[in-house]
Amino acid sequence: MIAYKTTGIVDMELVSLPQDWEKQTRFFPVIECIEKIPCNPCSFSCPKGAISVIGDITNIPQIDFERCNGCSICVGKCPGLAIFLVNPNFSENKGAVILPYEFRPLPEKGSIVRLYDREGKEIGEGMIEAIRTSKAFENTPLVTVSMEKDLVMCARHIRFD
Amino acid sequence: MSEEYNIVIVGAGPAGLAAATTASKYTNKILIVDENIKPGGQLSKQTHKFFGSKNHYASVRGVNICNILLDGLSKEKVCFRPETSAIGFYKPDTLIIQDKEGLHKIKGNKFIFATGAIENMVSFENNDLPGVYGAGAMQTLMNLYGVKPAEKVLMLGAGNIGLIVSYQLMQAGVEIMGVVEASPFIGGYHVHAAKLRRMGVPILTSHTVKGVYGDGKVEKAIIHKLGGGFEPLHGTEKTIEIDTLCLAVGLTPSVELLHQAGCNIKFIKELSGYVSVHDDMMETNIPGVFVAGDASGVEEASAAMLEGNMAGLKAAYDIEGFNRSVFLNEKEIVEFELKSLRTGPFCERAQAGKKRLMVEER
Amino acid sequence: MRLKDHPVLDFKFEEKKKVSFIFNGETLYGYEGEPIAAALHDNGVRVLRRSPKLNRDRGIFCAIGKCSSCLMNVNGIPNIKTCVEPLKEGDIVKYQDKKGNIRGD
Repeated sequence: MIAYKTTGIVDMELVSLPQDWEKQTRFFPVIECIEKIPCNPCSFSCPKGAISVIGDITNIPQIDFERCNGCSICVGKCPGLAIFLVNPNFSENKGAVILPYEFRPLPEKGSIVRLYDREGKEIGEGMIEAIRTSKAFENTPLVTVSMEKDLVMCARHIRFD
Repeated sequence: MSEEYNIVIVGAGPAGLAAATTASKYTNKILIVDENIKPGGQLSKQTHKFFGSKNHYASVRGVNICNILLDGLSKEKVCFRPETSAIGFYKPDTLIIQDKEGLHKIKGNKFIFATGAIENMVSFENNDLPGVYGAGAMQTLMNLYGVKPAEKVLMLGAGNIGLIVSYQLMQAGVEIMGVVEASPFIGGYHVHAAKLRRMGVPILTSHTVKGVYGDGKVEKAIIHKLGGGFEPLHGTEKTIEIDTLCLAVGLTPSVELLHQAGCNIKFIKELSGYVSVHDDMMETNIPGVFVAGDASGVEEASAAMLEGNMAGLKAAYDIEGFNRSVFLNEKEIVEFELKSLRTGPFCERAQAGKKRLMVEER
Repeated sequence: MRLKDHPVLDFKFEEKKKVSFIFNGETLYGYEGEPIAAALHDNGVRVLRRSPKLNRDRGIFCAIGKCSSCLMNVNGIPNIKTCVEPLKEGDIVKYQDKKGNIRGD
């Protein structure tokens, strides 16, 4: 049996990443959606046609990293909040993650937040680089957090005081 | 003197509202009755974005879908009576309703029962203690009336409802002490479980609640591990301090009115209980009496809306006899959308149940 | 406590009418038109009645008018499903003992 059915934590071997992802210098999506559920907004909302759900809508989304321009619409549209944008080389010594954050209060730009991994374990600190909300995303705020480069594939939630 | 309508819909949830939406495109004099203060049923309490495709309102929050449906209903064609209970149906055309003024006789040409479902209870010590709430009750308090419903909650059930409501409780500032699930596996979507896990919520599979305890109200829960045969494993008890135990252990279709009306009722395990036999357009064995939504078998709200569309379409067609190709075309669209929604492993159960229902009908 | 800063919902409490009602002789406040049980819950009242056979306290369970766990005496009338009964100014709400009493006590 697949581990995530008991743990609730995605098996990263099932998630597709661009080749040499650590060398990427722009945001690319990490789609942590690995189950056959009836859902395809990531595909129909992508303006570049980079994400496709072929055939039945229960099929798992396929991504063409070449076509993606990192616009983050899929992050705001995904009903499962399962898409994250990752930039491993956001600056010379920092990486960054764009994640959906549906809680109040919202963090302030420039503030320091604690980072949590997929198990809710605290893994370090990050800085809020940007916050965006849009009616098109049904008001799901998208938060850009910068952090140590080796945390970008782990950090999936933030908290602050 | 009794009032007369073309179509009478019982229940203003997703199925009932969708039935009215489709029916009102083709006919008028539609009545919806609902026991609650506000229309929308469970749909108005869903703050998460829906799954599905564009035609299933994917990526739109349930509460906003509810508003889209309500705004789309023409006041000239559809009359809504809140705080009104439907208490009896008399063949062939009479429904008895009760409101503040008393009992009323309603005459209808077609009837659509979209009566929904009721939350299940499970047995454990002190399961009647104040502080043991259905997951839907928590949603009603916090998402409809803005009341913070609890401080520390333990959720029983890791199906989609248990996972989604836990997340919604956290959005309302409530602490989730854990999600307990008797089965060895998380029943709901992985993406819902992942949202809780990254916020530090433990999901304990192969565990259940032994009991809740406290002086007149829930103060703590004792949970324990279960073995392969779901037997409690002694010595694994753990105490968790909470003020609320939330139950998300499934729903049972509300078929009382359909049963009383004389519909053919069958027990179909995969559809969560006794359901009314119906054909592919949601008509029961009693001509002119339709069923839609959870009352015809517990599924997701998106499926309930499509079943409502189907029932509303057929009821309106039987009354007005409009252009047959328009009718067939719309029927085909709804059938396609229902089929696409019901593909995949998560819908196997409901699919098998619906198949059994149709086979047993023949 | 009311949810005044929610990430998805805006309850617009400032547009709602606050009303007073009496619960077991004590004056409490809620918003007009919301279910009596919701207003009580906001005031920390979770025990609504006592069960007929085993004398056990009961609170809300379903909150949609289906389970009868929230039956109370409202303005002298027993067995009112307070989860679907809109609150009005001056309502007199009482804890219900067992099957209730038409005299209102």
